[in-house]
Amino acid sequence: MPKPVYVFSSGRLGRLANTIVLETEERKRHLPVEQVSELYLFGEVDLNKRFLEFAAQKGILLHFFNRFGYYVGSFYPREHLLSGYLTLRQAEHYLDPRRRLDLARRFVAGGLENLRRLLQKEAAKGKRVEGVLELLEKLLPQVDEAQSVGELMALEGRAREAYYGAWEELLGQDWSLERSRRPPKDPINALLSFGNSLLYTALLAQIYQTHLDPRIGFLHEANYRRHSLNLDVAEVFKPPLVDRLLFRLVRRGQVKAGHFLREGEGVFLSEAGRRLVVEEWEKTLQATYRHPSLRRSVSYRTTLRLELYKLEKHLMGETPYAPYRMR
Amino acid sequence: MGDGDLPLEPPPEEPLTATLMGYYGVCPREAWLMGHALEPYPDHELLALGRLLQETAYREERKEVALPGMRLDLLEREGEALVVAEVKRRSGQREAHLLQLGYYLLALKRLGLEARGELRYPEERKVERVELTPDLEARVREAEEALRALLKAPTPPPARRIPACSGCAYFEFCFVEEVEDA
Ligand code: SF4
Repeated sequence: MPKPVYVFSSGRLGRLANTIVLETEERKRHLPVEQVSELYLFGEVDLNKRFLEFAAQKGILLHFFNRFGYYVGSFYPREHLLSGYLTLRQAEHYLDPRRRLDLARRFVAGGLENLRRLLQKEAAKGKRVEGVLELLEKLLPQVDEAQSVGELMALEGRAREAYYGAWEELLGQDWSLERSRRPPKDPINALLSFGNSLLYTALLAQIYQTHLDPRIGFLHEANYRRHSLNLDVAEVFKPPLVDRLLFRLVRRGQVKAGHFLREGEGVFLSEAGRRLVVEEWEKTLQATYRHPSLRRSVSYRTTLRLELYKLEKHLMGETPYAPYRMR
Repeated sequence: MGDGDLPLEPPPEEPLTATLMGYYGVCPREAWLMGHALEPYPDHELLALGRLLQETAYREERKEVALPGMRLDLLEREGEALVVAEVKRRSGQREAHLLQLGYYLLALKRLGLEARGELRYPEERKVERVELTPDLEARVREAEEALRALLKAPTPPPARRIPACSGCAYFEFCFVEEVEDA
């Protein structure tokens, strides 16, 4: 099974026969190409067109992060799986306002439902989150009544704001969260932004293995230059995968003040901090459980792909999309 | 039957691929999905295995011939008769293999070529001789029509659990669903 490779050091990426060669000051690493699905590039990495052609030919995605660890963008090789049938179905669901709204509602409802489930688990552990839970109970039925994508976004925004307001209760004073994105102004924002970009890119890599077009999202505005379908699906998985991961890191005392650097207005993760999050993230995606309908053991990375299958079946008119439910 | 007696007929409107016919014999849903270019997850081990087998088995005798919608696995001359061989891993889906091979033979017949076939299962050391009997031809023609109609349907036939599912690359796609909490 090919796996993502995370590159923290700086150096040169090249090709030698069927291997990817990563040359850094200290050493030369050879990665057999069939073992690599994606390359995450955090350091200053030089590469040339020949290398990009090689990556494209082998269907390897490249994800670029700047020196602050902010996601810059991905190299998404030309589609190797194309189905005109499915592309038309996807476009049709985007162009028809009724169908688009229906899908957008499903993503928002899925995300809010998982937030609710996550908070219920926290409440069971004795955390005082009744206020947010009540708000979520109130907002959830409104999702089905929202008449536009804009309304849905506003609903989602309200829920998230209240939810983030509860992080102080969940994680303690040091980790109270007031969302700030560009740049993140404190450690928890830096962690959250980084964690979310790992989810966006992991989803993008799974979309590459399907016939879906990542540029056509339903909740997030389709944009011919940017990927948006992965942002839609991410709504559903942020609470169970990213948020829970951050909770674990904070509660186990694994993230420390030393993992963050300050520059100007912004706070970002040091290399050690990024390594820590990436390691936990890989563990999360590789963890397996018994899938209730497949009755087979599947990983959470596969779960992301399964979500896309459900979406494909929705677009094909087979089964309405039911978002993944956190358990 | 001499060459002159072979009734030539125009090829059907759009060539179906013989592979689709093979899938159809196993599972109509699989044929529909493949027919709409919805190939399954490419990393699936079984697919890789199948490809490897096609590339390595009987390498020496192998000749490839391309006809519209199909690429014959192997074509050799044995005296005068053409022999079309189809190599498969397991004989478990023999009926489907028979349909696919019959489809090749019918396609050749439509071009005015008489041929016989062979189903080969190298892993099981089995070779079966296949003739395009009137019975097989009727079954192939029937399947051809049914497949054509199936491919026109706007959605695939629903997934039903059959023995082939457990080894099928579409398994996850077909059977993933969100189960309500118990
Ligand atoms: S998993 Fe079963 S139903 Fe689905 S395509 Fe394969 S054989 Fe057909």
